[in-house]
Amino acid sequence: MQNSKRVLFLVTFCCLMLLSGCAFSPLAKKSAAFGNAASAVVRNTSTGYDTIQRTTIDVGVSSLVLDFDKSGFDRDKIKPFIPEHDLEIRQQVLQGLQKYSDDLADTASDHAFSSIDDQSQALSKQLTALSTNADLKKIAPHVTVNDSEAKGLATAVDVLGRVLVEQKRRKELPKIIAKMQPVLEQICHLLDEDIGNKPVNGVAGIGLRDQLWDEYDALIRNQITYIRSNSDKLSPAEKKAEISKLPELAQQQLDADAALVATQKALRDLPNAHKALLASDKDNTFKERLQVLIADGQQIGSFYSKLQSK
Amino acid sequence: MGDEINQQALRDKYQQLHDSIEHAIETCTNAAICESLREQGESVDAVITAMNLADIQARTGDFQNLIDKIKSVNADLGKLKDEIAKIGDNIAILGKVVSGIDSAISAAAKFLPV
Repeated sequence: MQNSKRVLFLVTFCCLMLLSGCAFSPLAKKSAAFGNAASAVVRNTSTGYDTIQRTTIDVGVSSLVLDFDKSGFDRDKIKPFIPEHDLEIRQQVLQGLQKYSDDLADTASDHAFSSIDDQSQALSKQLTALSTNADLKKIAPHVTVNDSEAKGLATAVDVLGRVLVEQKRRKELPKIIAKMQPVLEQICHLLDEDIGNKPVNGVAGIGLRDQLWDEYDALIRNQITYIRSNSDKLSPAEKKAEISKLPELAQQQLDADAALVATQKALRDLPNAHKALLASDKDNTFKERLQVLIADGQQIGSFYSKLQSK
Repeated sequence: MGDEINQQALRDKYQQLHDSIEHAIETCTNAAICESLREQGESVDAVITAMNLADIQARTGDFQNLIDKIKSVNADLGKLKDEIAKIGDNIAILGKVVSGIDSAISAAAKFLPV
């Protein structure tokens, strides 16, 4: 009876700690949500680099088709836009950012409790086994551990473990997030500069947007030349099919640029959402910035799915 | 700063040339002229591509410098993950201790007079 009261007290105490908010801080929930949203931004940025690399090769292949009879196959002309070394460095940065996002989401999510829950369940079984050990009753008849006490003790250990995890997170996560903030700002700024601008009326074009825009112009240019050069050899149906590719390429050009613009916006929103992780719990800034970031990710995704469906 | 302005002005000239060729080829009906315009377009694009690539490559060093900084933050996060995992491990040890006591009691019962 005395034991039951102690176990009951322990369970009640731990539950009160949970209910009083000691256990599950908003920071953990925010960090988990941020990690998942940031992960999508990183994936989309990586897809942006892949798109420019693939399109540059497509242009090389379409030029090869036109030039083959005249100059044969020159393998040096079929190459991606960004050389391997420069791309590799960027991939390492993106992979590091992906790891940060994933680990932040993992550490801050309920997933961190699963091991504790598993071990507590195992402990409960072991305590129950001990309570039913016939030899214990023979050796120490006065020591009694009933089944509910054993389960109660395991529950108390489980709750205590969760409280310890949360205390650790509350102490360490703000330091890690603060350390990452300037690094994240620099990364996003550099990636934003890489994406650059589309030329408007022939001016101010730079970076991946400029390059991708011109690559699509080159694809359209090659397609027109192909149609004109083979005009008398193509059947009406073949000619129709080839001509139909021109508006498709023009639309792909707009979609690919829109995806880069949306990625650029997401890269500008990402450090703001990350900074808001450390804002006061009563402040709604994080919630608003997270929603913006999630909307960015969905928009980029829709542009890329349009491109992939063509 | 002056060099950057000149560089962008030069880029803009090439881009305007690219756009003019693009416009001409879209309205061209003669195959030979189309082919000639295409060749000129490729020459202009080669210059724009080289400029865009130089701009991208100018940032590679800055990206490189950030790799160690990210690794350092990720190491801190990894340490926190490990410390959280240890809490679960400690409960597992507690379970093993209980299991050990259970086995020890059964073993002791064989030798103790009851």
